Order: sequence, then C-alpha cells, then structure tokens
Amino acid sequence: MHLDVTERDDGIVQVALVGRLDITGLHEVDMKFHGATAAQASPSIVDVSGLEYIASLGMGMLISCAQALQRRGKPMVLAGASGDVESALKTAGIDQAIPMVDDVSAAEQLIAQA
Amino acid sequence: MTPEPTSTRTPPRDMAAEASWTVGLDVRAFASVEQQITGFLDSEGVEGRAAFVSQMVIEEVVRNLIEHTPPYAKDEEVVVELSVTPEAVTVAVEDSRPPFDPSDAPQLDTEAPLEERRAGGMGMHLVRTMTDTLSYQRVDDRNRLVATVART
Repeated sequence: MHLDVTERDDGIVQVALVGRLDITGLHEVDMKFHGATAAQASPSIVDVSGLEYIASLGMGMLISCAQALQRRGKPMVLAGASGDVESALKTAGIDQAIPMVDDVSAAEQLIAQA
Repeated sequence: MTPEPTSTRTPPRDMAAEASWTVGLDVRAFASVEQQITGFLDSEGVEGRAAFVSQMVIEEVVRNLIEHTPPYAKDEEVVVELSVTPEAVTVAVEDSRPPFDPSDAPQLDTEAPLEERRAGGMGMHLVRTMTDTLSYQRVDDRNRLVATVART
C-alpha cells in the first residue's frame, strides 16, 4: 500500500491511494494521509482508482480527514472508485458523506463549483 | 513470528478446499494472518467480489473482537476457517468472548451527512449487508459466526 501526492499549483491537494487498504495497509499510509489532507487544510482530491481493497478501518480514515477539512471549510472529493471498492464505499454510505465522482477531472470541476 | 495455517486441505475436484488459522487477539498477529488468508484465496482461484467480501468479513469480525477485548483477555484466541467450493466461499469465525451476535450491532445510518458520521461503526453493517448468508450460534460458551459469499 502506498500513497502518492501530486504537486499542483491550483491550491488543490491531490492524493492517490494505491494498493490494499487492509490493517497492514492502513498502518502504512494513515499518518501520511492525514498529513497530506487534513493537516494541509486545502481542498483535497483523493484518487482511489488504484485501490484494490478497503474495509471499514480505511473508510474511517477517509471520514475523519474529510471531517477535519469540513471544519475548516474545505471539501474532500473521492475520484475513480470502481468495482468492489465502489460497492463497499456505497454500502457504507460513504458517498452520502463525501462526494464520489468518476475521475480526477470531475473532482476538479466539483471543487471549482463549491 | 508469522502463524502458519493450523490446517489446510487441498481436495479432489469439486470438493471444498479448507484452511484454518488460530490467532491471538492482537492486531499485529492478525495482520500477518490476513496476508496468509489473501494468499490462500488467491491459490484457490477466488477472485473478484467473493475474495473481497470474504476478506472483509474476516477483517471486520476479528478486528471488532480485538477492539472489544480487555487487556486481561488478550491471551485468548480466535479461530478463522475458510472453505472454498466452486460455488461459494464459507467463512467461519469462532471465539470464546462474551456472546455477540452481529445482527444486534447498532444499525448504521448510511444517509447521515459528513458532520454526523463516526469514523467507526461501519464494520458490522458491511458484514451484514455484503454477505449472501450470515448465521450466528452460541455453542459451548463460544461464539460461532458463519458467512457465505457466492463466487458467481
């Protein structure tokens, strides 16, 4: 499991979660993810198109960081979820709490409209 | 040290392949077993939704046990069993903690907005919702949870 941060010049933080977000994976990226999103207090795009697996622990990480951003008036958008990952996220109602869009481009548009 | 499966059995064609693990109620111990479970499912050709949901059930149930076990009981163990047939994966988790039926866990409000959500509380909802069958029994002072996930 790893996390890739894309440098951008438009004030948006773009983070890609890649691999399996199981217990081991969560321990590998949890602090880095908080540091890259919640701690930056910038609009954040989380690209989950490379995510192979996620359970409730990983969803909790997304919720806590999205809430931290929300308290500072900044949105988080999830981009590119598909297959079983998308199904699990929607089963847990994550899409009702954090916007989910098809890709990074759609996330950029959503943040621009906010 | 990484715990090896307690037992494995590779069957004749059309019979179930089985494996089981006995692991302490500890996150690190379980993390190593979780990788073995992934490997077993891979080796049996289980993929897609069946692999995803089977692993999720085990992770959610065992992690819930670990979270709710007090320090004085951390030397207790949980037994995870997997049975794979061409039609389905059957997951069984057995422990000696106090009775806990996942059906009794609080319902998750999946419509709640972000500010009202908790970072926890989603695991048993996922288990109840994503499995094809789920049964709970209290047998000989042990909890036994059995879930099935179709492979088709």
